[in-house]
Amino acid sequence: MSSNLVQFVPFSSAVEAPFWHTLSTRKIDLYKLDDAPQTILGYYSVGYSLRTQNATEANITMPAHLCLGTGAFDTNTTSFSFLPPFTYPSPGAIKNTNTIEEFKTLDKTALFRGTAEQIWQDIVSGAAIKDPYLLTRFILVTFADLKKYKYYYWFGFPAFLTEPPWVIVNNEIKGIDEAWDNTEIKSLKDNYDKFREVQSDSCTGFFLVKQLSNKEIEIGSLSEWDSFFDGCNDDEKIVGFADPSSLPTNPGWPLRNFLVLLKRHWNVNKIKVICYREIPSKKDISNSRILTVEIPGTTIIPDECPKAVGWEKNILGKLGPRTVDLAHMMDPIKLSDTSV
Amino acid sequence: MNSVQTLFFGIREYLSPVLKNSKFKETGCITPEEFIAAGDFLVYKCPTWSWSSGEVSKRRDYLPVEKQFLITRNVPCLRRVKQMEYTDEDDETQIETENGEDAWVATHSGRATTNIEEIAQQIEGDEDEICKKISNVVLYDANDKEEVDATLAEASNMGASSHDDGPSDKILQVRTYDVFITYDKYYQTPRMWLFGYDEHRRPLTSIQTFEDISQDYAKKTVTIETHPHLNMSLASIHPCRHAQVMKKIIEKMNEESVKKFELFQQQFGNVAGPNAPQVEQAQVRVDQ
Repeated sequence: MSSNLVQFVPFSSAVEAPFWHTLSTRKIDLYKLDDAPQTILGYYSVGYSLRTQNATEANITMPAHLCLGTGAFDTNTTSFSFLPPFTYPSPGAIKNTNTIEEFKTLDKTALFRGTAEQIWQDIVSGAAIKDPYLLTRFILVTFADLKKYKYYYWFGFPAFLTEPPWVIVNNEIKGIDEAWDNTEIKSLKDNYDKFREVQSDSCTGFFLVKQLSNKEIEIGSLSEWDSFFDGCNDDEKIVGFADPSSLPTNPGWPLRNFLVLLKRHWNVNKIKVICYREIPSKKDISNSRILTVEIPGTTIIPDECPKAVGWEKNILGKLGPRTVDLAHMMDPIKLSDTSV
Repeated sequence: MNSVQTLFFGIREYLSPVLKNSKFKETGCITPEEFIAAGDFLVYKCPTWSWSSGEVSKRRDYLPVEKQFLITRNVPCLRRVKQMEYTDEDDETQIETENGEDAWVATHSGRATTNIEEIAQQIEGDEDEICKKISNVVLYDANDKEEVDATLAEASNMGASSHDDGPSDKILQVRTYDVFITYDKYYQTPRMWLFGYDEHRRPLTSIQTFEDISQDYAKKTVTIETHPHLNMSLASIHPCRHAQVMKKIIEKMNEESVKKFELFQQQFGNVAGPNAPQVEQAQVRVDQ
């Protein structure tokens, strides 16, 4: 049965225009001809869909964006203070080439492989248990044509493949309101909010969930796995993640590496997953989904880094770089056309 | 031209004294302190908004370092104004909006007799409008759907799959806007800025942005200018009438003995007025 394979919604990049401006400034003043990869920090928010009043109309769903903003280069601050509300950090690196030829001929496979290796090392070493945001590491290759205010870029979001792949048990992915009652949903929301307040942003995107007998929902961090699930049967263990996808039948990209981490460290072959989605500031988490995923117990995650996929497609739907032309907002000559 | 103009605005702003005492009741102008208070309230009421500090070199010393301006990101823009203007069933909405808009552009219109009640109604009627707008959303056609499917199939790396797409789970490709509110020292009012991205997350050109703005206002009350705190130019709604309109609304509301502060907040959320692109206003608006 191929139909019940878990299909993950990939990230779509969303770069804020000021990011390119900052890149230009840093290229000119700081990096000059140094094209070594630089650390940057992106962010993503959970997916949601807006309901329309008219029942015949489709819901409005937003793509799973991974964003880069003005603060993306301020990675020496560990507090993630620049992150917009309701978002989760994602560490990355930018490789800015000096010429368009270099951009074209650059060994991108090796860069991608390198990024995947980093994620793998963080999984193996357990660093990703302490700071699970390391699971969402990405790579960005760019060329900035400073004279024409044109930028070429290509994102890679490495995600590991497992062989055989994860399947959805009974092909059943439920809305949270179908699976749980209102008391439980409210408890999940309240306790997750508390969890987010207390914990560092580096670990709030992935968490543990437990249903207590009094309909309370308890939330824990990954590093508490053993004590948190002490005395629990396997089918009582639940994990949750902040899900950037908004499609009802598909969880988002971060779950992929998360499952590999679970399999590798706790030999998880079957687990219930909460795809946490909320409408920002509306206190509405009814878009959240629950599913149980399973992988044959015989599957072995090798010690060396598994195969990874995840280059972003361009707007034509092909694997290739994207371009952005900012002349209209940065070129002084063009600006004069629009001024009054 | 633009740089000269920006320089002029800069000098003009420098020369304007910082408003010290509240003139809000008399003129509708606000002090930086009131701007901060209103902003804090907005952030509290609508947590999708947040304070930002912007470029270090562009900091204004009459505002706290970490509270230079307000920002909310990725607000979906559901329909082009162009599409809205030519729909038949929108007659009622259209009239209402027009009246509201008159209030905002009275500077270049003979029809300056503003009916405040209609503005107030418009604020109250926002909810209905949103519903109307949303229900008129145009979904992308089958080709785009296939693209999404293809992406999913590729993503799972499992080749072809029968991903059965019901009508309820298409990804809607919409323009999104980042919305900024800054304090305009010269006009002593909050000022609204908009920066848009297209369906593929490429920044919109000013021409494209104007597609989302009623043609009567594009380039008049809405112009492209340099952001006071960021190194970018973007669409801004001209603040020259904000103060008057805010004052009128407050007067009206005072009659109804509603607390001044809250009303001001409400208006603050509506600074965009009808000029703004038809973004999902629930996020822009302060819920009362």
